[in-house]
Amino acid sequence: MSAALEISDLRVVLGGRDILRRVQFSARPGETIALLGGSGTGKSVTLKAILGLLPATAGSVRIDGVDALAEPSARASEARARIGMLFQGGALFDSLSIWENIGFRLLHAEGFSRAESRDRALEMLDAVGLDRALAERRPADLSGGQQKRAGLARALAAEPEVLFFDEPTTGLDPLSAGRIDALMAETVDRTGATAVMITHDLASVRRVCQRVAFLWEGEIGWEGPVDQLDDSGFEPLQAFLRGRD
Amino acid sequence: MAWITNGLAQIGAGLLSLLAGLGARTLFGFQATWRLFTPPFYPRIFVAQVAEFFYFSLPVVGLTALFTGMVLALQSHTGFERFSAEDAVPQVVALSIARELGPVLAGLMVSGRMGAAMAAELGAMRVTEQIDALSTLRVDPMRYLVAPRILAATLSLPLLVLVADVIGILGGYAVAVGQLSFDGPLFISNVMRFLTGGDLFSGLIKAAVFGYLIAVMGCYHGFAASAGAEGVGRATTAAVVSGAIAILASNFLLTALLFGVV
Repeated sequence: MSAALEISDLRVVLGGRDILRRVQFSARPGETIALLGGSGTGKSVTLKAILGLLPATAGSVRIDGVDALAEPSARASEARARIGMLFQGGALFDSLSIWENIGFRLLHAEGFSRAESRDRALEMLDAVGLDRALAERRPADLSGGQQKRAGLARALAAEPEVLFFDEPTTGLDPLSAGRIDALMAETVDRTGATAVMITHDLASVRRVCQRVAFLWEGEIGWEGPVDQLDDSGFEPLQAFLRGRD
Repeated sequence: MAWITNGLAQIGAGLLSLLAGLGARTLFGFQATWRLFTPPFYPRIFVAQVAEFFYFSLPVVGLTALFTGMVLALQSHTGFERFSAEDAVPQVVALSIARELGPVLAGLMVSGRMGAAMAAELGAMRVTEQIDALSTLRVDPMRYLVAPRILAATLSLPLLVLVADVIGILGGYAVAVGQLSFDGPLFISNVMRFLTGGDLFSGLIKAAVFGYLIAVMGCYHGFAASAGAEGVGRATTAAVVSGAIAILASNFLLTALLFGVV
């Protein structure tokens, strides 16, 4: 299943300062788009505003035409339910086992029983290439790469149609980063989900994404296919690439 | 003149900031309390928090009450001896423990222990994005993390205080009988005669309010934590300090209210 994602005129003001002035980009169903930008340009703010974790002063986040940021309503709630999120550090709950983390949404928000949630969590461990023996462990017992995989399993457990990845390869060694990239690409391909990836890792962008949106001074300064990244003609982007590549 | 206006402006800004902080904590408390009355509920978390608040706080609260009762017997005996009123020691120990020292000292000890623990745990969850993760998993963090803690604290502290009352009076009994040559049965009979249900009940009401305030302060500062480990440390300190101030300030108001002083 996949859904079209459309971010329009997103504005966020924090502490009296315009962090995002007018962010807009879109992703077609099944497409993976990278949100690039230097440090402090507002990538994480954009993500938090899209997810409703920070209040947006203006703008909309439409999933198949339904605004997920609209005033509380059943339709907006349904739209938000179609979203899954992989956090930068995994953000696994320390006090719960790995299977309880993965099955958390199923157990607490989707009406699954504990047994059903556990069964589904074990299936998700298989899907992300983690040993089922890890199911009863705590997040602190896992390596950084394993935590990212478990975080991805948690994000996928409720079969979201729109996925957000926040710096998925940050802090990982090149080998683990490559594995996470391959896993994300395979996951998006298998589930047909629409995905947005926030990252500094250009190698990861080239491996996983079809298009790029470059955040510059509170707006999307350039948007285009990944293979046109080096020929964008947008100087801030070229400077970013020279600094990063 | 400029220094006067600058000084007044600073006082005004400080006052506004104080009121804004008070308002934010009050609103946070109301938002969490409202969720206690509407589903879904999380009984597993509630039970775990009761264990933390009651069972694991028993040793520290028990020891505090024991030594307080012992000191109270010694001090009151020393004072009353000057005008030959030593017989009043049992009544003073029992009333002081039940009405004031039991709830206040238990509240302060639990604020130091559990207020800090809540702020540190929730603060760590905030800075590692676990609280944000709850929202993206369609679970309300206030309902899942805060409401069960508030309920557990509000119900557990009165139970702790009841135990503290008994231990505190026993501490006074041990000193009075063992060191001050009081008659044991007479001590107990005086305590039973003078200590009313209202004295005990007022202490338990205070304890429930203190428990509520400790949980609200701990959770509020944990939720507001920022800037990594340093932010969590600041949140923990703020939770303990504001919890203690809230206990002492509300104690005055409750005493005035319950005993009709004003």
